[in-house]
Amino acid sequence: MNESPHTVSHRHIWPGFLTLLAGLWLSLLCTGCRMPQNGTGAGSPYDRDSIRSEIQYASGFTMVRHEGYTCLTVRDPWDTLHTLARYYLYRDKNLLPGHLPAGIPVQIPVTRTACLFGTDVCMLQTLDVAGTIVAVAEPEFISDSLIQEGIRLKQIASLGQAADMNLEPLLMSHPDILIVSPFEGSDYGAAEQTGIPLVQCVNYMENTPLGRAEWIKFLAAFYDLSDKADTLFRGIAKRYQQISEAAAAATSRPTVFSEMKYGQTWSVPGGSSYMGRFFRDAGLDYLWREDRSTGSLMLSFETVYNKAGEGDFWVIKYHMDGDELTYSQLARDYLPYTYFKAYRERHIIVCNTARRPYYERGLLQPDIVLADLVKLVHPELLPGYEPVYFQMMEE
Amino acid sequence: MTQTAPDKTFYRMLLLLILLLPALLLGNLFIGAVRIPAADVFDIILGRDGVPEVWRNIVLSYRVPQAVTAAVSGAALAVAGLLMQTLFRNALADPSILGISSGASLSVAIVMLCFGGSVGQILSISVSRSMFVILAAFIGSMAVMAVVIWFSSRVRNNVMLLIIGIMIGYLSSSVIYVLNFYASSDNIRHFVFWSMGNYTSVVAERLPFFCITIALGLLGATLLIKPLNALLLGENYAVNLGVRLKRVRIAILAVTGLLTATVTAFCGPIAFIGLAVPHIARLLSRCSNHRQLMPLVILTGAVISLGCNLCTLIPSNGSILPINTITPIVGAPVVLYIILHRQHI
Amino acid sequence: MEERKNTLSGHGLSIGYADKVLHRDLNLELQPAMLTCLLGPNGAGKSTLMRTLSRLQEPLAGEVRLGGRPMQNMSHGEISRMIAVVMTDNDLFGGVTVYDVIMMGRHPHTDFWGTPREKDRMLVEQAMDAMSLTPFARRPMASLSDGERQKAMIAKAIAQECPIILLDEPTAFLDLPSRIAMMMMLRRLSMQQHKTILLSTHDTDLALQYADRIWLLSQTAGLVTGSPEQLVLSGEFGRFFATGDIRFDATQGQFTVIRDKAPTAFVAMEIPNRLWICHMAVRNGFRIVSEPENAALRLTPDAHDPDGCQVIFRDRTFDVASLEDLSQLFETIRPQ
Repeated sequence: MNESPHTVSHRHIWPGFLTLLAGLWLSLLCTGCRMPQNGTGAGSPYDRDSIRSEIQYASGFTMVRHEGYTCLTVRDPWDTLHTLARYYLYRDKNLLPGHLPAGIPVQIPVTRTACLFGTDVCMLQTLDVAGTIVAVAEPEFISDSLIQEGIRLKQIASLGQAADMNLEPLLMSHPDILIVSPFEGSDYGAAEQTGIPLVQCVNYMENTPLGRAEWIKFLAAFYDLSDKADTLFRGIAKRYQQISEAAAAATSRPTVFSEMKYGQTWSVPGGSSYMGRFFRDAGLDYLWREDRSTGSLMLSFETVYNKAGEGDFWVIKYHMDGDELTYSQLARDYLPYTYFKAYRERHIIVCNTARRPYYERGLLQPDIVLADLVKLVHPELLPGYEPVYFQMMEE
Repeated sequence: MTQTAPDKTFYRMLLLLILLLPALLLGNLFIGAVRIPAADVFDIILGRDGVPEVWRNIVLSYRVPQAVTAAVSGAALAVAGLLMQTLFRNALADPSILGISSGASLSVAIVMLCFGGSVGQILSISVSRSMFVILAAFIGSMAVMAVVIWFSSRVRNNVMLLIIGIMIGYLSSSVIYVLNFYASSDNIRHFVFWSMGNYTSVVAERLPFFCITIALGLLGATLLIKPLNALLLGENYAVNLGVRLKRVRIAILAVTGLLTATVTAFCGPIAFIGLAVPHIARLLSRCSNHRQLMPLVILTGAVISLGCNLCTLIPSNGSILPINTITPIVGAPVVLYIILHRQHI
Repeated sequence: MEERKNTLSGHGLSIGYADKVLHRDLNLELQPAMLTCLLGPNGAGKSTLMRTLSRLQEPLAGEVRLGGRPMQNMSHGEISRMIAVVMTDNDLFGGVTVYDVIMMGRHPHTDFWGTPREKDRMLVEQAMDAMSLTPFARRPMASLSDGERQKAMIAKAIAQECPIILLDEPTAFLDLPSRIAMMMMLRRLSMQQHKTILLSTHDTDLALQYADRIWLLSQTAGLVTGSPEQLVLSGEFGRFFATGDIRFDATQGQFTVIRDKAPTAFVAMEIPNRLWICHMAVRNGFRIVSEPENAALRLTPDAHDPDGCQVIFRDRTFDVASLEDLSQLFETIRPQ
């Protein structure tokens, strides 16, 4: 593992084959070359003056400042004993030590960014570095007007589909980094061989709202804006804590459940999931709180109805371009929805993700999402507050 | 000496199916993801009081429509498969072979992936999302059927029709692939769930319409028994036996289209039942005459579909497997058996 | 009345497909209650003609009349009670049994649901019996040999009770004894039950022996019809089949290969079993001549041995005592 720091780590250079055989082969190869988590172990000469930055909520990355460079390590969220990627951020190449464990050296601040999703664009906007964006994928899903204008004027390149991006415009736009959000077992194929550093932003794998938001510190490091990010996040965390403390003190803890049935499956967020945490912090009693899973449960309608038939609140996120989901529409969609107490008492909270940037910006504003929920469940706690993402369903 | 009446096997199988059908229907009412004591289910069915309201709703508004839908869809798809196998004289033909279900999928994909399942505002009419998907699927499959029927009066043989159906299938899957590229991940997820098949979405109020449409289709299929038998000898012999080929072909296509379109519209594309059930019925009864085959296929379709629906509960922790993951487990061995024993089919 | 009903005729018929006309302006009439054989090389349009006559295919021009009425005006149901066909494509689907197939012959006579009545069952069993298929009744068609399947389809045609039966190459898959049996059976059918039968075949020998009428169909000469004797003696038959070295020998009633340059052989009339001795000579490359002069090979009776003979080949004399000896002799003198 004593490679030169200037060598780019060649994990995932193999093209992704869909067949089981190739998958097995791939995983065998990857296991063979995985870097141990304690790559920069104690006693290594580089950590003499290192300062570990305080990361309170996010568990997916660590940031250690050394003399002349910062080491960012992203944990593999699917195999937490391993490292997904390591970055050495430096301002002056001469100050970078000669022998570092395998990792990707990146000169900061980054001035040209390629990114794939609206969430990334929002994070960069929050940091005031959206101006560095030179290429995006799936521009039709990015609502930001600056980006749309840039695309129109051809100042920002479109990379096509995130899952199958077009490499030519990527190379032509000469980005310093490419921000990606890998799925388990996914790889960015040829993009990894372009030599452009891939910044693996797996914030969506965090199971707490504040943990997800804290990834702003991760991105900020690439723009040398760590102080700004610290300040921003401190504000978010503080507001979030205040709201959740107020909610905890509320006299009632109504029960809550969420989502709808699609096909024969009602996909319910697990008890330890991101949504589960939101419900808890909003002073709600999540009906699946006992469940330990962080992902979703694929349940049948009758299981959900049996447990949540008398639930107090029902939170639905949906994506509809045309109009909004209403009580009457819900009844026409699937009559058994009307058997729920939350339906009868008109206690359905909705968010139309086609109309509100919940997935793009909501991730960065957990304090606002939480405030929305608290306002709708315990209106007396936040007088005068106007919800941003969520609202009560209309008739 | 030769027996002129159907074999004893036929009556034995008929009896078995007639016993199995109500047993499985009841099984689907008593067994579900939620454990409800059998005594309570009895009380609910008999309309007695003293059972929690939630359980009553689960049994009467969820399990009953689901079981009926499963049985009726299974029968419809199985008969559609039988008609296609006889018309094309091909052991591997099924209701999807004409591209009818592809047409439904394409049209649903357009609705779900492009509009997120709601164009109420665009059309300024008020239809619910689920009704919209049903309408889309129905229109899509009927459109494909119209195309296939239009071609059927212009091509000489059925192989051409088969090729047209397969081409429509390829075309629509590539268009769906393109649509997937531009759709939001939410909508893609909904479409994927739709395409996994689902017996749970026909609510009690839509059940009569669903059942009547299917019943009309099954009646139509029954009226075609005689020409279907003649078609077993091939088109030339059928014509020589007095079958008005073009008319019969259109009738078979229309009945298949109606059955497939209705099931696909309400339940999504259900795989393998249409392909496997006619073979299961033939293999077990050793009948080839549609007079015997038709009732057997209807009953076998309903029974196997109900059985598959019970199998979706295998995880037994409240989660359910998609119906389309179960049907191939039943269907694939049958198809393999057919390939290995081709000469007897 | 019967006479009138079973006539089938074509008037100014053009047959073929939209993109390929096979024959123009054919005029023909199928003789009632007779066995007619349709002969012709592959590609002459035999199947197309039979399909047109049974209305499996419409004529491009002209009309077919059935019982004096234009067939275009008749329904398929009506035709199905008058013309039964037996085709070459007998691959059946769905595990149909022999009994089922023959019962399908009753389709034109049964009700909407195809319910068989006692009479239908009886006719099916008779047809099955006539084709000696009774032991196979419950067997699936797919498990039978090609010949047995062919017989089942003929039984279906019999059960269909039509005055006219058209058969496309019914002897194609059969061995020689079965072909003869088939032809005799069809002949019996036409004679005893007064069926009008048209069958296409490549078996010219059998056609000449059993047919009442012969239709010769070719791309070049169109359709020529007549009784076997007429056609043979007028030389029509010989001209029709003349190709390369192969000629129809009207005196022997069979096809032979013309060998003008082959060495000649004379076989005296007194030789016992002369026909087969000639056969052996021809098989070994000789040409039989009727005069002993100049013949390269001469076979004459042996005065001392009534079973043997004397063979003179190119001035050498051999005494042959048995067929076996003769056969060995031919091996040494056979021309290369």
